[in-house]
Amino acid sequence: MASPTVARTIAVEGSVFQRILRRLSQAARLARRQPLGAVGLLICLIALFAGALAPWVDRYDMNEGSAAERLQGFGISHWFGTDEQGRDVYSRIVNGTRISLYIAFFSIALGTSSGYLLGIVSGYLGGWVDMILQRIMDALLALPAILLALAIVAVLGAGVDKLIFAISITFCPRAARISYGVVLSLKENVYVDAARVIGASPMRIIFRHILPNSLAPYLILASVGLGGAILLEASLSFLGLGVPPPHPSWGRMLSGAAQQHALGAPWLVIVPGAAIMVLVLGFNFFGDTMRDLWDPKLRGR
Amino acid sequence: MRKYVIRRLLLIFPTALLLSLLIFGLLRVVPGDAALMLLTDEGSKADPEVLKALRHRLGLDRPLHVQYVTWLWDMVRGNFGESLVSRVSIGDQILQRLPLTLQIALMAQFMSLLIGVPIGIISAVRRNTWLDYALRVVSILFLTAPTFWVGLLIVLVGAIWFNYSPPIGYNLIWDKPIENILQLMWPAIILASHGLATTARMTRSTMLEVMGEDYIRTARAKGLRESIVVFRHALKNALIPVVTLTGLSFAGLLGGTVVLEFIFGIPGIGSWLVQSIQTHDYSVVQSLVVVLAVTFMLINLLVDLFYGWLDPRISYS
Repeated sequence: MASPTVARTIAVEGSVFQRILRRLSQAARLARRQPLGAVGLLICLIALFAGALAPWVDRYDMNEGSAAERLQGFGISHWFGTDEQGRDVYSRIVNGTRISLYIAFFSIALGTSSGYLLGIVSGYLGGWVDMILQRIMDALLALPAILLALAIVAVLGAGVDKLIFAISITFCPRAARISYGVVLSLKENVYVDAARVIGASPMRIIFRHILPNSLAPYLILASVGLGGAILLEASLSFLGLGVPPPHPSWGRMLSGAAQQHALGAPWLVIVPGAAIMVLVLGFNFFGDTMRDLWDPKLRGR
Repeated sequence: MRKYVIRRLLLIFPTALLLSLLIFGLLRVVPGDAALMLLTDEGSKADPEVLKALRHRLGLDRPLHVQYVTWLWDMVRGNFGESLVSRVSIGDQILQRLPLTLQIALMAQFMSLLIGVPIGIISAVRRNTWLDYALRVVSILFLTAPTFWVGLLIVLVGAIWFNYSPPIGYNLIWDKPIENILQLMWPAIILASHGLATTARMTRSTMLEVMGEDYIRTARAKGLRESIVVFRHALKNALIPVVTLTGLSFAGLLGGTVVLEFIFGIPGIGSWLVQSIQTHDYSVVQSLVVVLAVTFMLINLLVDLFYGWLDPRISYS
């Protein structure tokens, strides 16, 4: 008879198939404990696949319509109906996912990360560095995100890269301000004093002690930021100052013709908005769960 | 403390100056100046003679630094100039439009704090129960729905099922309070539902963090009632980031009104800025940006001072 130890050894050295099974069951356990996170992850993954594979999973050309098929409702040939030019809404939504995700990821990678780091450095060092950085951030913060983005886009003109730049600038000071507040509180901790006493340089204290301890707010910011970036892009596109044609943007799909035909063809209003909402929802659920899982202070309770 | 306030108040000037220089410069860098825009907008090809005359009338033919200093000096004296396009006085327009935008934002802020903070506390105290999940899902649904989409849906649902359409036009609150509230109600409610989720989420996060601190264990160990632990010990510390967020979100609310003013046809400050950007109405854009910037910097200062009151560990000197 095999002892438990032997059984475990066999399991550990089991086939690839068994290992995959074990990973899957671990994932299932995690999904049961964190149902919202699992739903969020699922939404994000579906959106990522849809965005990456958009040219293969769309069913019609996103910009080709036929007058005979205009303003059709939900159906088998057109899952989400057609718009006023007879273009397939499903195909436009799928291709819109691609451009939305692209803009959101790059904006956050650029904006939130740089802002967060600047806030920590300025909050920790204090003095004139703090003063100068805070004045620049104040100048940028002095306008609401959408107005700042509007102004930048209006000046730079339309274009995806310019849009990314405009959106990331709006996230930078906001991240800096949150991390500034966090670091003001963190640097009063005894372990920071201890590090300083043994002669650690400010950079070492920031990167080894402050940064790891302020990771949780950063993750929340970044995950909510992704959703926020998608919303901001959609708003700008809705106002006609965002993603330029031929990219089908969810925001632009909601403006103009969709509103004129809204009473007869409500899906033109419902579908793109729902797409925005579901994707932003996915990022929020996912980010929330990451916070619960990664914050060591909360682990195991 | 008093020194700190004075220093911050004085710092508003260089920041506003920086921003005004930035905006002034950026708007002059783009191809196509106001005079060209005005003339080509009317459909005709711009006649060089007319163009030159118009540029002269608008002062666009003067050197840039003269234009900038003149504009700045006029603003310091409270003269915001007139719109290049419609020729209305910018100062008068700001006085007419700012109250509407501020009122929408204030109504929204008030509603979202009043509902958002309690939701966050309940969510944190009853962590991982069905109540927590339900509250989180509902508030996150509101956070993730684009405000302009919710606005469109309200108009759509009202038109299809209730034979209702939101009132168009506006009244000032001291003229006709009821009409005023009814007109600004929808944008405020939509904005509040958006901000509510953010407030609730942040309150929950920080409450959870604070509830794990040693002094909460101490408070419980010495036998305090849970309600005192939650409200007296945890909440006060948990509110610090929430206050930061509120200060920031107020500016966000004012920005959020832009799209909603656009949908509900409310002549506020945001929709005017968008219009002016689209028509290259430089004089309006640059003046509005500076006026809004100074307003927001004052709000930021108040938020910073409020930290100090909430968290005595932070000292200003």
